[in-house]
Amino acid sequence: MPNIKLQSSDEEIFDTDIQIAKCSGTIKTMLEDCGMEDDENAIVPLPNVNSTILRKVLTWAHYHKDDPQPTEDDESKEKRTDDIISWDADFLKVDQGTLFELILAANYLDIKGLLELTCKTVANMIKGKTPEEIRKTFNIKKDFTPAEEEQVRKENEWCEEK
Amino acid sequence: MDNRLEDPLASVSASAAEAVPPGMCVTDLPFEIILKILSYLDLKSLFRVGGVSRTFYDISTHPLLYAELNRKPYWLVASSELLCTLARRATMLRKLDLSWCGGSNEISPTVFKKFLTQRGDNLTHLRLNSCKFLNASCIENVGIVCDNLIELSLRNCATDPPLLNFSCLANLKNLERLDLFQTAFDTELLLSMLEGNRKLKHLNLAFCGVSVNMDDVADHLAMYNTQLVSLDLWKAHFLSARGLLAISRCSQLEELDLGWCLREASLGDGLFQLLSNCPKLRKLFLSAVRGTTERDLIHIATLGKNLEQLDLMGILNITHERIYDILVHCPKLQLLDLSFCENIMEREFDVLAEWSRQFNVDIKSSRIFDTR
Repeated sequence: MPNIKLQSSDEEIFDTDIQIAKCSGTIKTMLEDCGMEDDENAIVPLPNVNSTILRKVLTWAHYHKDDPQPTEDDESKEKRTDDIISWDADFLKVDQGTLFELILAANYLDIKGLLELTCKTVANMIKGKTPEEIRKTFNIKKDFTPAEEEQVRKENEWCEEK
Repeated sequence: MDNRLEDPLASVSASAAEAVPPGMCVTDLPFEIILKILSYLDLKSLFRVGGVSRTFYDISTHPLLYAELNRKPYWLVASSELLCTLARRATMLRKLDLSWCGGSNEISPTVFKKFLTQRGDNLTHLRLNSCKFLNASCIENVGIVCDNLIELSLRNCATDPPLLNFSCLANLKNLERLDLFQTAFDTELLLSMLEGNRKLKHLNLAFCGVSVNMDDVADHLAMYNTQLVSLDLWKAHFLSARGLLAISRCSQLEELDLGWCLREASLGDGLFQLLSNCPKLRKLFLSAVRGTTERDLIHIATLGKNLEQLDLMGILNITHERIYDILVHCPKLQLLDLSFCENIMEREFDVLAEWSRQFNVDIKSSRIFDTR
């Protein structure tokens, strides 16, 4: 099976199966537009992804290489977050920094499945929590003015814990 | 060269990581990504995350997150105040479901009308099932403001006063789905709505008001709504064999419920016409359609190639030969309801259980004589 070389921001080279690399829309377009598909020695530079993250992304892509292509018209689909398979859940047992870097990489590389998975995971960290618990979880400071805080309090009255 | 460059870089990134222990923070993510994350939240979580900080408040109130509002899960806490807040945020509202909301006067009709006036003109889907706050003037507003509606659901909406003034609904011209289950309304209005909404695909008139004559409805459907895919007339008053003949001209029908609605002693060749003209029929409900004859059952077996669900509940005089016929000739059948079909139950109960396994069809039946 033909391979392609991917180069991370810290200049590590990843010899990668071309089919796996192409789960990234960005890489797929680059390969096709630049006619690099048949060139064994071509190197695809990925200046926005470091080697730690790229290694994780490729591990994920390898596991999901046989997944069906996500359809375009999924806007009407119900937004579920309880459908994460256990392999993915284990794969994402990482610190928050890594999780957010994976989100940025999935976004930059245009890998729809990974972007959805990582965003859902963050959504699950928010769901069912009070604002104070969310602040604690993500280490965020409350920066409302008293007037703003009063407005939020009024708007949120209906969903306060009784 | 490479080594000399790599080492200092490595130490720099290491010390940077120590300075900010958790690395990247969620607020470092681009706006559109946080927006995507929040799009997975339910309404309650969305409001709560808005209470975290200014950044989160700004993103959590973005109109894109309020294009579809389903307040049914929150019917207990729904209030006029919440509706006012949502009116400010939902400037791109497309789908709204307020079913069950406002049960004990928490939502005033005035606030609802104001909401519709502000946000109703782009609505494509509106569900107001069992909304106790609705009055004639609310419905009038729907007709005037929401002229882009594709789906309108007003199930169980007419209790007191018994007949709402729905006349303004005649303005709607783009409906594909209309659900009036258990809601009383005026015959003339319904007929003019059928005439005006030529793209109608789904119509539910089950258990609707006594004043509507289903034969007139059927004639209108045959003339104006031949794109109809599903029709529910369960316990509607009443359809005759002539009406059945009219319905059979809707050749795209896939689901048809005539339970308790078709009460004539003979159906003529109405069922034959229906099965011949509507080859896509997947679900056919004939509960208590007592005019169904042996000949009709033969037609079901020979013409119902795509039937997945068949309800023959309470039809007398069905023989087990006809049932076997249907099982053999309708390969897609999954569910067959034979409850209260006295004639079969007495003799062939064990045979039915055997057929259920043999044809892989769920057969519902009741052993009414044995339980006495």
